[in-house]
Amino acid sequence: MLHLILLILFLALLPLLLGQGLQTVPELLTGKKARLPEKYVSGSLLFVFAAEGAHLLTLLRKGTLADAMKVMGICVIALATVAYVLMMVGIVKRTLKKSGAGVGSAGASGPEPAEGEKSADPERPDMTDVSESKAEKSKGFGAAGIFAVGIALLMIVLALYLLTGNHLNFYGDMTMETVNALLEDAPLYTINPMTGQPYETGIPSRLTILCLPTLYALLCRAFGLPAMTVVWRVASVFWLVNVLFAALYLARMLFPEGISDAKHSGEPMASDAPSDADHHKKQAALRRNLFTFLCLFLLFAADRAVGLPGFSLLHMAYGARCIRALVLLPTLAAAFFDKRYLLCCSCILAESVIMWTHFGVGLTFVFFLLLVAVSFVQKRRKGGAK
Amino acid sequence: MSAWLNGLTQYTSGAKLQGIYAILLLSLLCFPGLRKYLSGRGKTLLATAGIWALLCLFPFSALGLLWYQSAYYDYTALWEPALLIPVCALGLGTLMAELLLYRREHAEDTSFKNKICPPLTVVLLLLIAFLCGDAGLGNWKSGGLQGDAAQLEALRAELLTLKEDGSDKPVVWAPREVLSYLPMAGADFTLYYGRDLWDASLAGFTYDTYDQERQDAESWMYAVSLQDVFFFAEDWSSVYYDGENARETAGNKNGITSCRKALDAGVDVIVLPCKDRTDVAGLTAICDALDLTALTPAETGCEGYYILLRTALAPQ
Repeated sequence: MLHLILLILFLALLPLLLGQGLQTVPELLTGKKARLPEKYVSGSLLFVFAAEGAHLLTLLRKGTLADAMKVMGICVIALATVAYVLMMVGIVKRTLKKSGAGVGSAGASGPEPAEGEKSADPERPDMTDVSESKAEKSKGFGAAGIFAVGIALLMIVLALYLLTGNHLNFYGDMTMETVNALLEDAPLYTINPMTGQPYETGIPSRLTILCLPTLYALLCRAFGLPAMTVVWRVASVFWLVNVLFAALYLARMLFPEGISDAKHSGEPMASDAPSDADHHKKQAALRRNLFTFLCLFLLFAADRAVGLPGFSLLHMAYGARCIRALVLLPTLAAAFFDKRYLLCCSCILAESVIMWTHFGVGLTFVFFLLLVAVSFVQKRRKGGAK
Repeated sequence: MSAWLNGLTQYTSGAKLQGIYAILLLSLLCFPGLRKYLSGRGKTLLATAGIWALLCLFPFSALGLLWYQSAYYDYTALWEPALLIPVCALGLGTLMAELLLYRREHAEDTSFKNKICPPLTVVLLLLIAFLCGDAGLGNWKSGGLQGDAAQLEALRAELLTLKEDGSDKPVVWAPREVLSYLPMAGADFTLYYGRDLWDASLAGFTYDTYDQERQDAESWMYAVSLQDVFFFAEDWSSVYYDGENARETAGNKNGITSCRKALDAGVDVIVLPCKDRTDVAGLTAICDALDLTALTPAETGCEGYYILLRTALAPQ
């Protein structure tokens, strides 16, 4: 039980620390502040990349899981240290800026808005979603609050479903078998996980670079837990949390603050009076929470067949297809709208290290190109109309 | 082309949520009256998802994408970037938000139409959406668990007691559900063949293939699992249905021959299904002929399975 708690804490805190550190870099360079959702998702992806690094290095040296464990340990400690240092640099810089602004000096000219100040870009709001602003809360427990509670309840239901459900033997999935085979401490990918016998002719090389089974096996080994607990229960809930954060991130991008809802055409209402601004803020909060609530709610409806996103989450949340459909693609779209192109690249790269692709990049890459093209065309049309 | 056609049929048959998705996508993209409720980014997202959906619907673009994504993934995987959930959430959410905001903006209006109708419609829409799927309880089971998890775990625990410390892993031959379960629960056994023999979707994971003997053994064991009456020691013939195709059990129909071949190939433990009308005499004949020890469900406590093992491995 202690090991399980430690693993949960590890998976809750490490991506947060890594994401915090990672997002400090653009914050320092451009003044663009990141929020919890993008921090956690980017931290999770960085954790996956660390596992990929350890996996590849071990594979090249024909090492075993014990070797991968050492490399992963070094990677995680190094990344966490760098992230911590970056985080501290960010905090120090913010503190200095704040104190500078307090005496009426440099703060006004800097690119970074002060803490609590609204973003200069109205399409890039700075509010959190579920927790909303304190002002919102103080003005009553409206529909936005009800949907925020709904999100929390749905998360609890989904987490309980994943923690208690059956996950056995799904068509096309062999993650569990692979993790168990890796835990045997033979050189990586030399044992056929289906039979426990050594491969005679081997496996496709593109398959050998996929790192999710190694990541799960490393977690099993590090925390001394059985593969069934780690893969079916803990990893599933870990990715569920990522699904939530991806939905929150996308919601924030789709419903920016400072935009009038029913009468608008996507243009910011910069000249609104404060009361109007508050009104729009409340509307945005309602829309965001509703969107996130529906994303989680519809997962129950999208479970009719193998391959649908709801099915992937409810029964194979640890699998690469679920991660791509419900974490990478929404995060990619949100990051594109947020102009965080490094995060977009991370999503594309993450797909290629967890899913089998022909050319090193998969569907997220094509989706990204399409998103860029559509956005470009829309901007041109908008410009033409003006 | 058949991959596209079969995939499309599979993806759209009984798929109510996909219907809602199509309606929402078309309505929001085509009607300017509805488009005005979306932000610029919402429009971009919907347009991208719509184009992707068209690419999946048209055969030639779908074939191109199928080739691009690698043969390992099926047609349904192509639909992931069509963003089924976000688009439905965006469409339904916009509709619901407008209803709720209308109610809020007309707070002074205490008529039934204003007070009750908007929240009622929201609840109704949620109910409709919920009823589109199985809420995680339905159809998935057909593609999922085979056998009872507790029963399989009991069998595994019993098989573990047969494994001597420090010795090689015993080679096990068993019905499908057992061979599926054992490697998922741990790498404690070597299997005569694995799930990839009958699960075609796993075939691309390795260049290894199974020889004819193992395929025959799988056919025999699968047929035995499906029968109500077992005739282990006699020649028998059986036709069973594997998906849509009728298959006659190939190779050795005789239980003794099948088990002997398996033992010659290195199998140490044979697990056979035990049903009410099992041919006990035939089973005894197999054990006598092949020098095997049979552990009955009464001896092991494993409901539903006989364990046949080389006498050298049998508990004293």
